[in-house]
Amino acid sequence: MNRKQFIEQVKSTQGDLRRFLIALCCGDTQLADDIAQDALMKAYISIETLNDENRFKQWVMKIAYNQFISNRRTFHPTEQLDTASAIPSSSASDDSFRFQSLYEALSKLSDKERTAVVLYYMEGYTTKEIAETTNAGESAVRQLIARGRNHLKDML
Amino acid sequence: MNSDDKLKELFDELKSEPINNEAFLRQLESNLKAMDTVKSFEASKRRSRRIPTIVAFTTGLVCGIVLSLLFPVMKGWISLSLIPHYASLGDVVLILPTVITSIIFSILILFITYSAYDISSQFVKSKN
Repeated sequence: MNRKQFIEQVKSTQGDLRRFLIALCCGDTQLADDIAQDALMKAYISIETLNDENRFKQWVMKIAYNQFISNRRTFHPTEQLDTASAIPSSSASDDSFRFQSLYEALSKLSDKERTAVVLYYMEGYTTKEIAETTNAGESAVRQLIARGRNHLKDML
Repeated sequence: MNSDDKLKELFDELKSEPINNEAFLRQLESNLKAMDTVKSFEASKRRSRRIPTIVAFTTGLVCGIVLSLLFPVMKGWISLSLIPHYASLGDVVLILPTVITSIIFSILILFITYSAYDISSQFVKSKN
């Protein structure tokens, strides 16, 4: 797959990918886009490892999730993510304010719970697909979704 | 409406939010372009090293074979002319010519191989 073909594939998946990362970053659009760029660069480098082009989106989402986790491990923000999310970034649109309470509730979840809940409710993934994306067991994913859902219900 | 449906609805609304695609794609395209430039530079560097390496390997191999065939002749020459006064030292005279000849041959092969690499590199560079 050359650069043009890769960009064409990205065009069709980037919306979902970025929304997924924005939700994981609790509304921090700038950070989410930086992670998305890094993830897509990694995907481009290892494009030969993609066996089935029809699974491009799921493959990229997995890379993005790993990039998010690696970013969380190495990046030490001066503010906690839940505090930072309350400050609207310059690039965040006014519309994102509508979802401020959702972002704040999401920020109270653990990274794994947040990922499972976002993939399940926003992307419509099955527990099996979530397990593949996050390298977790299906029963663990079911527990994460249930726990995340209960936390969100309490907070929203 | 139960709370699960409410959550679904909230996430559906979040999913339908428009985001700026153009700026993101423009940045991605320039990043990928830069990456391709680095990749092609590295590939051309690898290609330019390939010919000198093959030339050096072949030269080293040929030199090794030729000098190995000449080994007995050289060994005899060294034991007679270079260290005749060691003849009285018994075992030493048996080993020393072999060791000296081997060292000379190794240095000679190394020098010829390196020169072959250097010359062919210069040739490839001037050709490009």
